[in-house]
Amino acid sequence: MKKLFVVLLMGAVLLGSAQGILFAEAAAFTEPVTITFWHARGSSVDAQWLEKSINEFNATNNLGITVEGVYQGYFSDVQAKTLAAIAAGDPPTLAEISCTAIPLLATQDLLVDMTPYVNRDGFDMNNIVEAVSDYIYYNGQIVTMPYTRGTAIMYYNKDMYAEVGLDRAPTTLEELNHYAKLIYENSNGAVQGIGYTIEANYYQHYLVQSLNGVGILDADGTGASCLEDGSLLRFLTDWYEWTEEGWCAIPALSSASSVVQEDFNNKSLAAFVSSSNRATTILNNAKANGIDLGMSYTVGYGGYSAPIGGGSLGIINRDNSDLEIAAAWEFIKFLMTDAQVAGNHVASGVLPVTYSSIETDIIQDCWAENEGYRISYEQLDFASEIAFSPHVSEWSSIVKSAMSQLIQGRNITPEEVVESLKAEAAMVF
Amino acid sequence: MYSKHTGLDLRRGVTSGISFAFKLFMLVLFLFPFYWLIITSFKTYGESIVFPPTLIPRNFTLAAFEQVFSRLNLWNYLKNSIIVTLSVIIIQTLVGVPAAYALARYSFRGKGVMLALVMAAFMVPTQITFITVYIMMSKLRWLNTLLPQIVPFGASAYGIFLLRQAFMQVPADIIEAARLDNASELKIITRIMLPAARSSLMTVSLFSFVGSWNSYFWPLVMSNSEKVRPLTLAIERLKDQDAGINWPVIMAGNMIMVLPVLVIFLLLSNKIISAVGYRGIK
Amino acid sequence: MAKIEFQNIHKSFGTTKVIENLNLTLEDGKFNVLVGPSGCGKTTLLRIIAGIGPATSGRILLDGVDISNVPPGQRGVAMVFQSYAIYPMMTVRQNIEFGLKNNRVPKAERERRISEVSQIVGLEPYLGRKPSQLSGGQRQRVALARAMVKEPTVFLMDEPLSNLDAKLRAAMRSELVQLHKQLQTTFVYVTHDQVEAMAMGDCIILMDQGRIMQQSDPETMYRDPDNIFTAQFIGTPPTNILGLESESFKLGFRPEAISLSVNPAPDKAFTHRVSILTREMLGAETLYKLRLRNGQEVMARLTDSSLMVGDELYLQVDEENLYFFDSEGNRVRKTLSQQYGAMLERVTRSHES
Repeated sequence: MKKLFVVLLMGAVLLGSAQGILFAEAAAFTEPVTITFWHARGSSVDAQWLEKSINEFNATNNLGITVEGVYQGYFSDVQAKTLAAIAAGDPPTLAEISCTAIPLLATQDLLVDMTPYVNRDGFDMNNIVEAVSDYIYYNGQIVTMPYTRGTAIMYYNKDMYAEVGLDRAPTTLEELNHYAKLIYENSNGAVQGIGYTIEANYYQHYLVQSLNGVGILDADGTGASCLEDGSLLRFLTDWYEWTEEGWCAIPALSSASSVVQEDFNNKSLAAFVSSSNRATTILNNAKANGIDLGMSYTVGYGGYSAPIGGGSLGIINRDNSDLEIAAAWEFIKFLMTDAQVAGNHVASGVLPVTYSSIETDIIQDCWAENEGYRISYEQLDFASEIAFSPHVSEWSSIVKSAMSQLIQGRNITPEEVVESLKAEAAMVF
Repeated sequence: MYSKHTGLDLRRGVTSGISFAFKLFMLVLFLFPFYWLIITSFKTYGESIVFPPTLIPRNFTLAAFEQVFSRLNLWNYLKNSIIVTLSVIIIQTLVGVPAAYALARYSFRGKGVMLALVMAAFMVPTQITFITVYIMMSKLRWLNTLLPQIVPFGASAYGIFLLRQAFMQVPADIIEAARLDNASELKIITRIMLPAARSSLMTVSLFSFVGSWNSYFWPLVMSNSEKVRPLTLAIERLKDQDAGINWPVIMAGNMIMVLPVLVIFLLLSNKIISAVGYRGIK
Repeated sequence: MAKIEFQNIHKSFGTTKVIENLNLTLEDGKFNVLVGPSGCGKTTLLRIIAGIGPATSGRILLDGVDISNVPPGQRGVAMVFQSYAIYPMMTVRQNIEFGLKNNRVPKAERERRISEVSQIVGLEPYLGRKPSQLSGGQRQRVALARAMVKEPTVFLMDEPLSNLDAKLRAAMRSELVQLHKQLQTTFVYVTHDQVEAMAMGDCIILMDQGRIMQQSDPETMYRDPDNIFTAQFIGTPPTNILGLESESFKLGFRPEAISLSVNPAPDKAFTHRVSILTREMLGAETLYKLRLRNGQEVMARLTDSSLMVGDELYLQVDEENLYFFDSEGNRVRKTLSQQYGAMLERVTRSHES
């Protein structure tokens, strides 16, 4: 009897504490609250869509919540400003954080655990597309929600590839390179076949990943076996060779991403790899320049290979009141509704992050009209993202500058790059 | 004799020819970027990236301007830029003129130290101070106001120094004459010193205007809300290199940005050029 | 209309003492001229009166009232600066009106006074002009008008004519004297030019190194100098001073008091053989530099221009034109020929041979 009592009591205590943990206090929106949301969505279509979202939320929520969006520049700017603001004691409530920055913030406990709210509101975590769910969890907590997640797309000039005999998208890197070379030779060097910009943890990550299965950082996030197994050396040697032969464009030293698009629109570049998040803008520009734009899977050695990146929403765990945090959650919930997720995808090209949104007419109609958007989603099947690790940010910037020295500086051999990276790796990991 | 003359004329002709060519070169050097700015803003995106570039837009379009207006709540930013710039100029004048007058005309204990402080402030770049200032502004809860963009610039070391130099050039006799004419110190400043230092004051104001109007880094750091951001940050928003930089839109934004500066410079160019020095009437 | 008294005035600039314990009274209604070499302290005194360079210690009285602590603008004095100190950005009218406005003189009164003074100084056609459009003489008149219009009790002028050319300066001199007659106020005029001082002043205050060497009317200043400094500063060329080897006294006589003759005249108090070293023909008069037997040189200023370089002659001076000074340079006036007859004999004899 006594035993039973103890068990019951323990059960009650457990339940009670669990309730405390699992069910957030229903925040009482008794007074109007304004929260700030720092984001990196400055481009035309992005900004317009976000403004529409915020306006709709502000107008329709009957909790007295006002969201004020503040564009803070690129992801790196949002990250730097957020960290500075946290240090200064005046952070935003909500921030759009890049994948590389999430581990940095999460490991320092700067992100609110959304689990209690998810449980309270019965938010269905299983509805989130699995491929983009990696950066949601940290230590069993829900620290972010996917928002402007993206993958890379191969954008190519259909006519130029058709001219050299490829009237579909390439399915392997080898195939792409073969035709890229033909285009270059047929045009006597006036048109280059393909161009990449340097984003080590993104574009180069998936190319290396197609060789070694993990990319530039190991799955556990604490090493870089690509340095040892020859995969990085092979890729770097190849890339250097491609650029040396001329058919693969060397990235410009500044605004490289913009320059490849200018060259593409100017018809001096036949294909380039860029983010799916810019699909709408790239499509519009190509159309305006009379280019029949093809959008397809990105390819790696021996087949399709693709990266995942982009931004997620995190609530800042410092100097924000419970009311502000609760308000931020309401806004996140709103952004995760089917209409918002679908609209976001169609407006800009960012990935649809919930399964239910894909069933909407918005997305189905869009995909029917332009398969590029569908491809970006379907590509997730063989896309991979760089491992969740506090070293991501540092390591990828080291690899990036080493690649820059090889491809743009051209004053070092691929072997030397790998050797110097080995030395760096010893320091980082 | 005759031949010597022609030789001289020829040399003079060559000299003035070279001088003219040099001036023309400098003119092109300085005006071409403006020309480039203007024509690009009227081009289509497609034309803005063709190589070789076109020097006259083939399809003259206002689309870039339309995009600027549709993408940005321009009036909000313009209003902020104007408020900040005018406030900075006015406060700088209200603070700088008496400070410069005191440093130029009075002798008092600690004057040397104060002048040295002003000069030291002149030399410290904002990049060194901005973090501490940011924390200060944050603690004051000012980051959602225009104050962080105004208050730290309420005194300009450069302005005080320049005005002091100008005030020092006013002969002491003239100030003494005014004192004998029973003029108050305020009247001496407003009726005697300021008119004498008009060129310097204008130079200082113009520099403040340009500095404040074009300021990008400071307001970027010191604002956490679109409501308080100036035009420079809005123009920056037009640039997104991942989506391909839309040069006509950027240039249209810059046109809007630079137009007030150009207009003011053109209106005041004579006075700016004459801002050389001042001599008492003998 | 005011009497100005300096009482125990000290003035130093930093550690440099410029004036030490100076006492001076400037009489009401006089054209006072402060004259002396540069650095003598004359401008310093003027600035003490104006209040723009207050004394370090001591008092300054205006009609018996201590004004040491009264601001410059409220002393009832007006000043004309050497540089004129015209406000360059104001028109002539505004320049003249500025002081009146500051003193809250009613508009009608201002208009009346401006038209009056501009008429006196002849500036009427130029009232709308800026100073930069005026000639030097016109600017000088603006400075004058600006002082006059305030109807001051004391008129201070700091070398007001030094920036004018010689011809204009002479004309302005007499205009200023006339102006003084007309206004009947106290003038204090600073100059380094003894000719100007003599020509204009009722009362001349000659200063040197912060001290007053002599205060008197021009006539007395010239004829009856109190000391070697005065004797030499007033008059051109300066009074000849001869050191007497055996005596502690010094002898002085003006170049124009000299007469030269081929033979010595017995009735002259001072006779000496000289030769002519140089000759400068000035027009009505001629300057001769003469060398005495003992090597000392003197200047003579004569109407006779017939003498030539190298002529050997006798220099003679009447007794009443001889000044004696003690070793300090102060004049010894007492009994002249009676008391110093013997000495005079010796002097005269010793230089004859």
